[in-house]
Amino acid sequence: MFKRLIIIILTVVYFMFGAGKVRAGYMESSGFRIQGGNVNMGSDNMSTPGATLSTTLGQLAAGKFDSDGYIVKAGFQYIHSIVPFTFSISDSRIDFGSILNNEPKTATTNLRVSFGGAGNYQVTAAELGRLGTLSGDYIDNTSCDNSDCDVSTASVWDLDTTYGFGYNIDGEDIPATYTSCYLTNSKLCYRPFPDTTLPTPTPAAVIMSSDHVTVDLTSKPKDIIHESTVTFKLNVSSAQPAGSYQTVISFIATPSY
Amino acid sequence: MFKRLIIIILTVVYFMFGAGKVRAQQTILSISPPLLELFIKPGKSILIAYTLQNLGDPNIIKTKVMPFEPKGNLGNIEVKNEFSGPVRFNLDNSDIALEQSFFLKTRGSQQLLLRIRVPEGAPNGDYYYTLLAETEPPPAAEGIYSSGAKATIGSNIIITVTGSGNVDAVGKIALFDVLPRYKLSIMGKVIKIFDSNDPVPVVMYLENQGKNFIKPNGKINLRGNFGETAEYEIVPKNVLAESQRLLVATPSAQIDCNRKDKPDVFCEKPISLLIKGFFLGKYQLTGSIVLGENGSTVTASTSYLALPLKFVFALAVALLVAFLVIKKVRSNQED
Repeated sequence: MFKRLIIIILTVVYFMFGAGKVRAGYMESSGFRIQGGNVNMGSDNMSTPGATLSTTLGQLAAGKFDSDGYIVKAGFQYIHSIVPFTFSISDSRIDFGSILNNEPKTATTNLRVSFGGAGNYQVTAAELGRLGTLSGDYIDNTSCDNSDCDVSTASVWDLDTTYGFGYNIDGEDIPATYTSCYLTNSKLCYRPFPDTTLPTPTPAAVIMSSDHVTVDLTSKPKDIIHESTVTFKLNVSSAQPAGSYQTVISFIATPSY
Repeated sequence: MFKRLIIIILTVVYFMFGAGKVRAQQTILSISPPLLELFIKPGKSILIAYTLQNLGDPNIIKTKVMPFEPKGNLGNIEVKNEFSGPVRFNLDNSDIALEQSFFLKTRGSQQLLLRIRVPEGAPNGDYYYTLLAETEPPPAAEGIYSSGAKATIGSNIIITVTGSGNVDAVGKIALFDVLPRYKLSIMGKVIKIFDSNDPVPVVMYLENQGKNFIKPNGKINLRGNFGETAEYEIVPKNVLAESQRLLVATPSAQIDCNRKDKPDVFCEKPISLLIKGFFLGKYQLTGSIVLGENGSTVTASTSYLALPLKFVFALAVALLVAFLVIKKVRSNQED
C-alpha cells in the first residue's frame, strides 16, 4: 500500500514539474553558436465583435520587429503565410537517347510551383548554350515550320523536315502565346529557349501566375500548387554530324515582390 | 552446378532489366521566407535566417545573391547576371559560404544565416536583390542527345537604405478605369456602357514616382444612383521605386484563366477587380490609395452606365413576334 502511494506521489510530481517542460538550448562550440532563428507555430486572424488582430506566431521574419537602425518585415503579411515557396522539376535528366535523321523525338518534365505564401510567381527558362558536342558541332534552335517562332512567340512545329531544338508547354499559367496557338493548333506549338551565350540573353517566362488568383484577406493560410508540363523536341537532318550533344536548361523560379 | 546456373540467370536478369536504367532525377527545393523587406541605416548589418529544404533527390546546391529589376507591371522580376550596389552579403554559417557548393540530402534542410551589411556612406535609396539557391544539373550520359535541367529558386530582398528613417513615398494613380463592353461618344464625352448582368472589370495602376518602394493601402468604393454602395479593399502589394504596378482589390469575382477550350474574356488583360451583380443606372467608382504607412492619399474616379440591353432586346423581339402573330391571327379571322 505504502509502495503504491509512493508511486502515485512520484507520478504526480513528475507530471506537475517535469513532463510538461519543453527544453530549448543553443548549439554551440568554441567555434560557432547557432541561435534558433524562428519556430513556426501558426498564424490566424483573431477577432471579437470590436476588433481584429492579425498575427503570425513565432516566425522571426513574418512579423515586424523594430530595432536600433533597422526594421525588418518578411513574408507577405496580407497572406498570413508560413507556407514555404517550393519549386520542383519532376525529372532533371532530359534524355532523347539516340536520334535518327528526320525522326523527331520528345522528352517531358513537369514543373510544379507551390506559392501559397508568395503572392505570385514566375518560372523563367534559358539554355546555357545550344545543344553541342565537345568538338564544336551544334544543333540550332528551331524556328518552327514556317520560320515564325522565336524565344517569345510559339508556333506550329509538326513537319519531320523542320529541324532544331525547342519546347512546348502545357498546363497551368502558361504564356499567352501558347494559349492562342493552341486554339487553332492543338499541342503542336513550340518555341526555342533563349541562349545565354548570346550577347543579350533574356530568360523567357515559361509559367507565370496571374493576379486573377483571387486574394482572400480573411482566409486561413493555405497552399496553392500549380503544375505544367514541358515537352522538349529535337529533330536533326542527315547533315548533322554524329556525336554526343548536350546542354543545360536553367529554370529559375522566383516569387513576386 | 545448379547454384552457378542460378547466379548466371540472376546476373543476366539484372543486366537486362535493372542495371541499364537511368533513374529520373527529381528536384524539389523550397525556401522560406519568400520575401524580405528591410529598412536600414548605413553602417548597420543584420542577420536573417532562411530555411532551404531539399524535398527531392540528393543534390549539390550553391547559393548566391544577385540584384533584380521589376519586369512588367505585375510584380515579376528579372534577375541580373552581375552583382551591383553597395549592400554586402555573406553567410554567417561556419561550414558554407555564398557561391560555394554544398550537399543537401533528401528531405535535408539547411539554415542559411544571411548577413546583410550596409557600409557607412552608402547612398540613400532602394536596392533590390534575390537570394538564389541553384542545383547542379545531373551528369549527362555519353553517346546520346541530352540536356540536364538546373533548378534555381529565389527569395526576394527589398532594401531601403535611409539615414534619417524617412522614405520618399510619392506616387499617383496612373490608370483607374473600367473595361466596358460598349463605348458611346457624345460631345467629346465617352460614356462606358455595360449590360445590367455583365461583370464589371476594373483596372488600377499605381505609379511610384519616389526613390523608395511603396506598400499601398486603400479601397475602391462603388456607389450607385439609388444609393447602393460596395467597398473593395486594396491588397497591399509592393510598388518598387520609379515603377508601375497593377493593384488588386478584394473580394473579386473568380475567373478561371487556365481553361484552354474557352478562356474567360477577362483573362485577356490583367485586371484589378471584377464586380459581379445586377446593375441599373449610373455608377461611380472611386479609388483612394494611401501611399504606405503615414503616407499621403491619392484618389481617382470613373463612372459607367448599366442598362438592361439584353432584356430590352429580348423584349423587343418578343413584342415583334407577338405583334406578327396577332397580325397573322387577325388577317386569318378577316379571311
